[in-house]
Amino acid sequence: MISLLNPFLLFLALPITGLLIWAYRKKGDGKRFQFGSLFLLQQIQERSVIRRRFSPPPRFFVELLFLLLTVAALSGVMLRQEESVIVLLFDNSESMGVRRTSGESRLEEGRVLLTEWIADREQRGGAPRYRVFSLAPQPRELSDLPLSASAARTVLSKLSPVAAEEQIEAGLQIAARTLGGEEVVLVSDRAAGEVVFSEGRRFHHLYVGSDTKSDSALPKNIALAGAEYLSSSEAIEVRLYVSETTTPKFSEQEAIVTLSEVSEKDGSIVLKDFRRNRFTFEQSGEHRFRFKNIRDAQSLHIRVQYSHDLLAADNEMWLSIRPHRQRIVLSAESSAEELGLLLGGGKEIRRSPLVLPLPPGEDGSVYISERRVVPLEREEIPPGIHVLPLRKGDTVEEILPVQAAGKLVRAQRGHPVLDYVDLQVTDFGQVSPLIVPEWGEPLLETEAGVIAYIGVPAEKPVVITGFQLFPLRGEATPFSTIFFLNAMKWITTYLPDERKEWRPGGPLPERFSARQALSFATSSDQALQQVGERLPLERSVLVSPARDDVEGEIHFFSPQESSLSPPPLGGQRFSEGSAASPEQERPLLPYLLLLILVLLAGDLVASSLSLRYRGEAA
Amino acid sequence: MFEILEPHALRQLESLQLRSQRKFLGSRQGGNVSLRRGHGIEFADYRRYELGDDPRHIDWGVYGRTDRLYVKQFQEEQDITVYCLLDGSASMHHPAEDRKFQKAAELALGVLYIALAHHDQVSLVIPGETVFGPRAGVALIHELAELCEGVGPIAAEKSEEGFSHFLHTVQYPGVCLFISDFLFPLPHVQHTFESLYSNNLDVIAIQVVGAHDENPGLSREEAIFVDSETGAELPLRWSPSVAEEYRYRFEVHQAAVRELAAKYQIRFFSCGSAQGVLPFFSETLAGSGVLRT
Repeated sequence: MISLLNPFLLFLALPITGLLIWAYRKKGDGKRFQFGSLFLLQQIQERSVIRRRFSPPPRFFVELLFLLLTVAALSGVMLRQEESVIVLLFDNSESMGVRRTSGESRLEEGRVLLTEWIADREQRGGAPRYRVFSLAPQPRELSDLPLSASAARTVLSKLSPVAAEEQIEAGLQIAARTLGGEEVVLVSDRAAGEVVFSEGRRFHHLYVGSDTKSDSALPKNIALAGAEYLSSSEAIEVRLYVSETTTPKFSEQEAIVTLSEVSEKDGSIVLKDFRRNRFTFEQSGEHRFRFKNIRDAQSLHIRVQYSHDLLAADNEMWLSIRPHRQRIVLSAESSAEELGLLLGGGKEIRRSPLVLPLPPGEDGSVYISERRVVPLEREEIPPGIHVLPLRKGDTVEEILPVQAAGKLVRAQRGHPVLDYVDLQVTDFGQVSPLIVPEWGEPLLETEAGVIAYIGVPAEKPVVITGFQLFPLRGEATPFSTIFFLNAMKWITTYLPDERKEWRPGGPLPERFSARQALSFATSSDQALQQVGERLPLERSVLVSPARDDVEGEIHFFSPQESSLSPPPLGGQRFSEGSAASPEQERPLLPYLLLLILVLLAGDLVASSLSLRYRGEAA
Repeated sequence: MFEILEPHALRQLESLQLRSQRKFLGSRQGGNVSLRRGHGIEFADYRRYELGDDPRHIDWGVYGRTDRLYVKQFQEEQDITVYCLLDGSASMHHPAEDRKFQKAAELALGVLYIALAHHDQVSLVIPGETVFGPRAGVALIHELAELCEGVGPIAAEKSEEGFSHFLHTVQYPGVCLFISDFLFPLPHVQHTFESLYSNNLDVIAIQVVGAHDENPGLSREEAIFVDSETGAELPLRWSPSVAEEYRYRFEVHQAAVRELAAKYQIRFFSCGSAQGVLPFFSETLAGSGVLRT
């Protein structure tokens, strides 16, 4: 069966053949007679010019064959046998990029499964051809023509997850409409919907997901699960979480916990280590130990170091120890309007009269006053990120115009634990639920709450204020908290120093002094606010609204762990939102052939042109 | 080697002298009557005696008859400049058996030797190839012969450029010997004649006609005729009727060239490529007054 990639190019054969015939007629059959001067003969040309039969030499046919073959090559003529066609639907959505503890992603697992399936199918004979479709962001065929098994494997090897949802149903419908598709193979971590295939077609679903393999081995990780100040005993109890049980060497069972005093000097944070303990663990799970003789009214920084730790993001914690048992940051009489919480998609947030009880635990826990806030529409604020605008002054006289910050992006491809939200493109009032795999949850249990604020006034710098940790109360920490913690941690760690114009713990710079700073964080059912005071000592940062300094890469974890440009899963990496396509690898051969054709035609024409006579006008 | 340079041929040429139809002002003493009045043999006119005239030139016979003093004036004899334009285009070399350029070169060398022998200045110009002179001296004839040797077909464009360059560099009026086959379109022939005429040259045109120019002598066949000068191609079936018409058009062309020559007061001669040079000099040119013994 003959097929053509570019059938319209076959029309080139007609003018090319005509051109060649014209050139040969002009050129003649090669018998030439040198004449002194032709001008006398030209005068009698009209009556005696040869009307010859066209009898080209053999060279003509060779050249014609060459040209026609060139045209055929340009047209992409292909000869293939009648064969069965198998439709391969490959889910390349973002969820397929989730990696197992072994480091293998679902996409890689699916690729292996599909490759094995193809190998089995090849062994059954028939030499079927494959039409490969990717399912995200839209179902699209990755090649213009059905592929061989090896070509299909090559195409599959270039697939990478894209930040979009898969379109399984649409893909199946395309497969149902695809002519010649006798078998349909779906590779996905999601269940396929109901698709009715015509008779004679077989459907295979190669399922990849968390339930297809048992995750027996968790990554080695030590995390600070929490820290509490025990005022009665003047001690800090640190809780560590160890994720792995078996370690081959004794040296791998030892971590170092360091306690540093946080102070401000010349406008910058200074950490002064004053306690360091070695911590030996033999079992996974939670471990507790105490630092004694710790006075209150200070800010501390706790970090744990473990040489084989796979996730460094959860290894530190900031702790503010206040002399008072409860620190009321938000006045009970303050209205929601005064708090500047009225903006954002009609979600009016109102402070609730309900005062939550103090968390159970030791006396003197690090705790900041909290108030329940609920929207006027009785709509609970879902967990996630809430971005609110800054205000001028203490009253709600003028709300600074806010600048749309873009869209939510979940694009942390290949990260072993978490998705993340790009702060630079997060919209105001936007709630960004984070998707965390089940097996990653134990790691998330280890972190603490956070107060954070992100505001983007128009034509003003983005202000991201600091965060305040508070210990867990025995329940799962919201993912958004983890996110905020790590986001702030990254920003304060990796942002260039010159961008840290706003010194943490100090007043706002003069040009921002008229502006009231807010801190805000949410969990599943509570909000924490801070108004009208100097921000906590912990960390603050000022970044440019141009976003140029953090646009390229945003690491909420360590760069090694969560690079925005992870190495490709295999083969060529494609741009986000697109899938591998042979069109991007169009070979140069057709263009070279076209060039040869043009040159040849030009040569034929040039050789047929007559020169002017001596004395004739040019 | 040119036969015209054989000793016996040179001796015959020395007995000939180039005659110009017009008188020119020369630069030094020579054998041609000049426009200048002065010392000479040929009487020119009488003039009233003026103070300072040489008394020896007073015609005393006239004084005796008229009782007035007159002095005799003579035409001064000076040299002239002889230019030789030798066409070296491809048609002069084709077909090779006609040896048209060889014949044209011998004609040119013969005329130039005659001029050199009479102390005239000569200039040899092969348009697009050579520009020599004007210089005087019999010994130059061998240098001129060397210049004519080894000249191959010259491209039409180059030949045209050389001809234009010659017209712009002519310094002295004189005799111009133009040797060509004149096988190019009449407008160009006219342009050539007109250009030479307008440069105050006494032009002598000699057409060298090859045997194949008049009669290509082709058998009845189809072929692509290729112009030797331009490379232009013309597919043609050669037949007796075509041959007859070609001869007719050739004769018409010859007649037209002669007519144009007459129009611009150019003495035009045809010399067959098989014709001897010395007989052509002694019979044709001497008979027409171009040369004198």
